[in-house]
Amino acid sequence: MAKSKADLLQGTLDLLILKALRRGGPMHGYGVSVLIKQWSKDVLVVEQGSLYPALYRLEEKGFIDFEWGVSENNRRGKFYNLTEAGRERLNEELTQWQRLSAAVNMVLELS
Amino acid sequence: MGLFRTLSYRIRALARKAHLDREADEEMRFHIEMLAADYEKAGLPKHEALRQAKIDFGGLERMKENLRDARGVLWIETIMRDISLTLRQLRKSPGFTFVAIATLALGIGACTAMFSVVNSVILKPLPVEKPNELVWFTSNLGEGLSAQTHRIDNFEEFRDQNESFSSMGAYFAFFDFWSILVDNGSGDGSDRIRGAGITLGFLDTLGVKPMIGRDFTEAEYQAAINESVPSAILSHSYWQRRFNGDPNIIGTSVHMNSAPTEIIGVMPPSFEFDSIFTPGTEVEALVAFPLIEQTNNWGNVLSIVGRLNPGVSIEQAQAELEVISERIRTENPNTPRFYHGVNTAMLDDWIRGPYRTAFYVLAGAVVCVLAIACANLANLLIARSNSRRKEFALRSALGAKRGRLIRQTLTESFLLAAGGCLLGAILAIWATKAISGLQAFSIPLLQTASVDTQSIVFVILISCAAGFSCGILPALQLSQKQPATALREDGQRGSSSARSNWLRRALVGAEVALACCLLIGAGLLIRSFESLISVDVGFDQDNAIAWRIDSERQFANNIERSAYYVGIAERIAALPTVEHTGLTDALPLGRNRSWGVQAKGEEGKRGPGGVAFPRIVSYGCADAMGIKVQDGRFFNAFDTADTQQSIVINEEMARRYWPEQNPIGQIAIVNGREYLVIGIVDNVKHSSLDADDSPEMYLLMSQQPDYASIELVVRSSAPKELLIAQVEQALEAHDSSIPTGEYTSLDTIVGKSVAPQRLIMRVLSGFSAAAIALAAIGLYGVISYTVGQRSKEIGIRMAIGAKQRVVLRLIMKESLQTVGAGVVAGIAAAFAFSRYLESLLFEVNATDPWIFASNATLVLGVSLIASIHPALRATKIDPVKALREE
Repeated sequence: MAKSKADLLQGTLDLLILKALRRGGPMHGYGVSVLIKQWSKDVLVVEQGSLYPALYRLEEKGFIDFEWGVSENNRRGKFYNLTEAGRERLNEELTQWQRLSAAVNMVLELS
Repeated sequence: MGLFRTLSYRIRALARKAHLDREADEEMRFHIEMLAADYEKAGLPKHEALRQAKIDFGGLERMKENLRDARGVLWIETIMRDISLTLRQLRKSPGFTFVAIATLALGIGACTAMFSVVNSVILKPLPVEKPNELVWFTSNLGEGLSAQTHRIDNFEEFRDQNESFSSMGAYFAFFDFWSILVDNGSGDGSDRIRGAGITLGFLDTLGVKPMIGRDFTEAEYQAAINESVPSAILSHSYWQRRFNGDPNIIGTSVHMNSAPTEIIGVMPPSFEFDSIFTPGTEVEALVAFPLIEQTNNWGNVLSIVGRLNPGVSIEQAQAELEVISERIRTENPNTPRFYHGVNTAMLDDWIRGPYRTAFYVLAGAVVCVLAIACANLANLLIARSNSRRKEFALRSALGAKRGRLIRQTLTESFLLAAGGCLLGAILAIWATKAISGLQAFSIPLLQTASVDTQSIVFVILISCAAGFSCGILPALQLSQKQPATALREDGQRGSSSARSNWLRRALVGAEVALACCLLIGAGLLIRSFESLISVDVGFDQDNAIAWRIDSERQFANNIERSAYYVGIAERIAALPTVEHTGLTDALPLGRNRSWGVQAKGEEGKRGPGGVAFPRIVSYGCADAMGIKVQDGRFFNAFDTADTQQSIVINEEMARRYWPEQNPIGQIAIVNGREYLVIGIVDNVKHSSLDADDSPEMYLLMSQQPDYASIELVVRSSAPKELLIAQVEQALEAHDSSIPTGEYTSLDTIVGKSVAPQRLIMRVLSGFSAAAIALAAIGLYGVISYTVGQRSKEIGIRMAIGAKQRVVLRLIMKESLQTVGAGVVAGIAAAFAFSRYLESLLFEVNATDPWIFASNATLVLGVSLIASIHPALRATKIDPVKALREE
């Protein structure tokens, strides 16, 4: 498995997880990492070493919750789901991210 | 998230720790399996896929640790882990643990006991309502109790004419001799108790109420005029002791002074009359004191307390009272001015003022002792942590954070402090109980001292402070090291620990300074106490015992009465072992009153007259008391009611009232009656040993009926026990109605009068002894440690030819530098603080150079002894062994 091809900017991991959960619906941690990898065309690889602590933190803050479910291969797994607070948070973070990336782009586009 | 929610979440998380860990474990395994499944799909064989997935995933345990971090329970868990780790380590060195906890427990216990005492005696508000409104009435006429008290008619005028006070009340100040004999219930005799006579409004002014029952009514004050004790309010402690706290006592009747007395109330335990107004003299009951013509004739007898109106200052009140008393004086020109002077003080200052300095000094001393104990412990911890430096360096190299290491060291000192806190609290409870039980001490509110909630809060706070201050230095010092440097050092005896050495020596130097300061303070107090007890009391306190013999017996007149008591004295004098007997109504250092007196022919020449302390005695009194006659004669058996009215005066009275002539043969006017001066005797200390001499006079019982209590003083060189048995037997045989068992030896009276000074002196001496011992132990530890550390260096020096003498000098020089600096600092501190001691000292200069020098020398001496042993050990170092010990 390839090592991460781009370092995740601090704080963007939460954003990606929340986004993945909104778009992909309830899913387990592994699913989140796979989805992010696919959507970013293998550019963003979320290591489990960052992924799970991030999930736990988000859960503690109440942005996501979870329930135990059964996976496609019939194994008991922990399925994370976005909460209402999580949705709001995602919107805030999205706005912020767009502002930030636009700003960075503007700077970079200066010749 | 609110703090509470966070906390509760974390505590729940902690409780669910095992459960969450299991969940995390399952989740991680799930992840690995999914990963493996994907590898399998990609074509890897099942076994290889799982292996690859596990490699990808990395360390499972580390992951779980990270997750715990994310869950946020880490700090509690870490603390728990630190505690259990520290407990394990402490268990491994029980000697260290014991010494550390014991030292802290002593320091904390002493501090807490002292706090409890100081809190009760000095800090807590007086157990009355709004004590800062209460004013005590004194006068501007000297210090005797009579000069602190006021006539009844004056009291009534003050009370009725003032605008400054919302209420005023008073008590009969000479109740010490208002004894009540209570039927002891067993049918065979009676107990003597003291009743304080209070006026209408006294309890209301103080704002205290009986716990059960009620205050006296107007009618009961009227009744008190004709009967001796028609009704009484009991003190809480007497009620508990004598009536087993029976709540049905109210309304019942008890025989007091052979007549039925109705018990109408019991005071609450928070208000013990004696602990506030008459410390050291127990008052078991309150009785009604009638304000009538008869009691008015007794002169200055009321101690007055007034409650200021809101917003009125004591100065305004004082000014108003002066106006009133001036008016009384002009309206009654023929009464001596003595009866009218009035001065005021806040009740709180009057009661506690004299003890503030002493107790602050003691509190300061005990804090010093605790500081020394903490410094010692800090030193021990530094030594301990130095030997663990490698462990810490390794851990910090492996990624342990600095904060974590500091926390762990602090955990150790806090655990020790917690142990010290528990033991110290037990110690404090015991010590406070012992101190408050000292009834003999005339220190106000001392008996109310107990380890209460405030003390518990205090013990916890001071333990935290102790734990922190012991631990923070070693912790900082330890974690400061760069791991690389520390690892390179050879653990125990690194040469680069100069910094920690410096720290340890500074700590010991500070200990020596504190100990030196305390010793000097104690030295001053001891010297002061010595000069106090070597004061010439004016009577012979050895070989004399006094019996209180006044009974309920009624007499037709004073001639019969005095003859009866003189008869008892003569009967006892006839005992073969007895040398002299005499009667007096006032033993020295106890009773306190003054009567107006003038030299005849001098009236008006030197102001409006003065006062003297009267003793009403029988003819043998001077011999029995051992009071020397300087000139003329004392009374003898031929002086009776019918012979010339005579008076014996003391030297001071002679000096003051007849400065230019021989007083013998002159006439003294006492309370308006004329007496012929027949003799001059030595000055007797009648109020306290440190008081200046004041006028005293002796009047004969048969000629002066104004006496209540009677003490029979018996002088004999026979052994005390034998004498007591003989005298009691003879008294019983002479008249079985004489109360027996109430005796005190004169030296006990003297001892009791200096009890507060002795207590303060002893406590401070004890503290300074503890301080110097602790400092010596600390010094010993540091020097031993230095020797251990430098053994290699010393070995080399000796190997290349250094003599033992040189090595000894090397070590002693280091010790002396530390001690010398400490002693100099200690002397400077003692010098700076000595002025606070000044008010406690009797005939000793607060900066007495001899005491400073001798105590500083003592500190130096003890320090040398403490360091000589490790220094000698240094000279015995075998160079070969020391060098090989790598």
